Amino acid sequence: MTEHAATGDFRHEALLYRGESDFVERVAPFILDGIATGEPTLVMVSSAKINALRERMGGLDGLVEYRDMQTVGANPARIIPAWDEFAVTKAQDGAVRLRGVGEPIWHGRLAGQMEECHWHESLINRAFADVKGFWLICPYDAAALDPSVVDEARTTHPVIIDGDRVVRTAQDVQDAFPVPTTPLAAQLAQPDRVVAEMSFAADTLMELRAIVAVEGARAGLSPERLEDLILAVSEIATNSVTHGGGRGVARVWLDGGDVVCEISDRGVITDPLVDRHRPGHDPSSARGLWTANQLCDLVQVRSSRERGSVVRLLVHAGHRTA
Amino acid sequence: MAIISERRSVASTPVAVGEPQDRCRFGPSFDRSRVECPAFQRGQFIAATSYGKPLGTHVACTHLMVGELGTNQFYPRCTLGDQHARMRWLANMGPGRIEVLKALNAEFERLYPDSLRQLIIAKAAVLAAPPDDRTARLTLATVVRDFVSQFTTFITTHADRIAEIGYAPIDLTARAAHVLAEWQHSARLDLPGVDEQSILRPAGADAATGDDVVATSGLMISRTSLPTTVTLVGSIDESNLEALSDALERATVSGDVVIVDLSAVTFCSVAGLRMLTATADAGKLTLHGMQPRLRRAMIAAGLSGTTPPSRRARETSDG
Repeated sequence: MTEHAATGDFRHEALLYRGESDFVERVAPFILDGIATGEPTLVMVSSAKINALRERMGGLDGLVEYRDMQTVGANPARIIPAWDEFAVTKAQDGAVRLRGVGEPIWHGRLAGQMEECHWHESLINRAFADVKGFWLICPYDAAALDPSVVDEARTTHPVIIDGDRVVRTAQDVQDAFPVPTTPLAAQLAQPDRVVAEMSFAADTLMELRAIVAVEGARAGLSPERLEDLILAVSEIATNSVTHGGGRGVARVWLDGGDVVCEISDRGVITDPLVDRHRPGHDPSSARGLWTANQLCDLVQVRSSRERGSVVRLLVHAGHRTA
Repeated sequence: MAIISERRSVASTPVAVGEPQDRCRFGPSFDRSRVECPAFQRGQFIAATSYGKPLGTHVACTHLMVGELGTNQFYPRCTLGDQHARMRWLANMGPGRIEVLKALNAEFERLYPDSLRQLIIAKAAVLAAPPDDRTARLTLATVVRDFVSQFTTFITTHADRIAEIGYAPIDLTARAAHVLAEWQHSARLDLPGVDEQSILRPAGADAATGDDVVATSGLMISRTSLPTTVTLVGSIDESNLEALSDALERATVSGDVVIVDLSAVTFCSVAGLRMLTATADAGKLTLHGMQPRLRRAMIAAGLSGTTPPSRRARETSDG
């Protein structure tokens, strides 16, 4: 571990490890240091790793909380709100220093989810830039992950810790990692075969839901997951109706065993953190993207002035090893 | 009391311009998907080959028929018509009578689970047999006669409930007998539903007596008094939120606490849930019959339970 930065700025560091026992040996001291200094710590990794860590620490829990990243971060867009909730709650309790361990990237994730994880890691720099005293480490399994995935970590983390080497990729989070806009404006890969397509407006939202219901059932979604997808699609399409020029185009296709529904319209989204804001109590507060993120296994938002906005919603149809 | 029709494969269908307005968007496999259509009436669909071999029974809608676009081109047709016609049908029926109709359908299906299947099998045998084969025709005639007899018994037994929803039992049995006789001698395998609109048609303009009914896009809003109750049938979304909001405004203007019955709401958008819960929180109405799917939607949207604190909470946005 590096020594505490004197300034107490937000620290976002990638930690490269090789295999589970190496993970435990490198991460446990970070948590134990936090316990020793009385810092609230949130650990979001797989449940298997949570068990291994707890065993290693032999009952020392201090102010440590654990959450299963494979649940919280199944859709990577849900992770920033989880850190945010932790940071705000602990700050309200009077904590001035916080620790976090978050591993959203693991071997076997879907390509789309991996893409969104990198985007998420880069958004973290912006989302928490002003949170003093928050020290977040992101473990990467260098033995299991593709080297290109590990290389991505170098572009999204100001500090890389690899064994005893500490590589500072940037002196200052803000300077070296300007607000990333490229992924927001990037284009998504096109599907091979679209099974249904329709243009919609306010008075045809029901038809759109009917198409999703029929195609989702055909693809084998469970009744509950089908409800989730239908609501998410309807909410995003409602955004098109109310904010995106009154209409939009929906396309449905299958990706492996997953059901994907894409909504596009002429609206332009400029805030890269648009879907990470927890809606406020105010009844007028917007909830479309937030709701979709809670319901879907993956939500991809892309927007540019030239092409308008695209929101892709994915729900797993079956259990897959991830 | 259900429509049966020959199974035609209906390919996955992107919505194209110039399609028939009475195409059903919700089926044809109602047993695999949820059904949002407010006019959906559960019935049996018996698939059979043209050689009389049954292919299985599916959940269908009693309004669903095979529509023809041209030579050998078929589509799932709603006998009620387009979306506006469906809403008119609902408004004429009123929510109370739709419940009775649903119960009668289920009751008939329970009492005579095999009679529809036997009709189809007998008819398929006639269609497959050589024209001079009298045996198959005689069998069909017997099966039809039995069916009419069962149907008449059923209608007579439930005469009071059928009268309650505005139909004359005697007309109903006469029409069913007529429709079946026509079908018996036709070249069609699919059978017109015995409770489709042409037979069980609402009896005139006073159909929904006592109900103040608004049928807007996809949603029927009806109001009864003592105590003031607003019953919603169908789906709530951007297309009818304003109409719903207006109707609730009118219903609550007297200051009474209004009961809103949500048990027949098949879909509700987050904005709809927000409007309903906000009005309920203001003490103007109480929500009854909220289904699990709506509760799940509220949780996903962060509308129920405690909202965790957040630095990033915004009070207005375009998200």
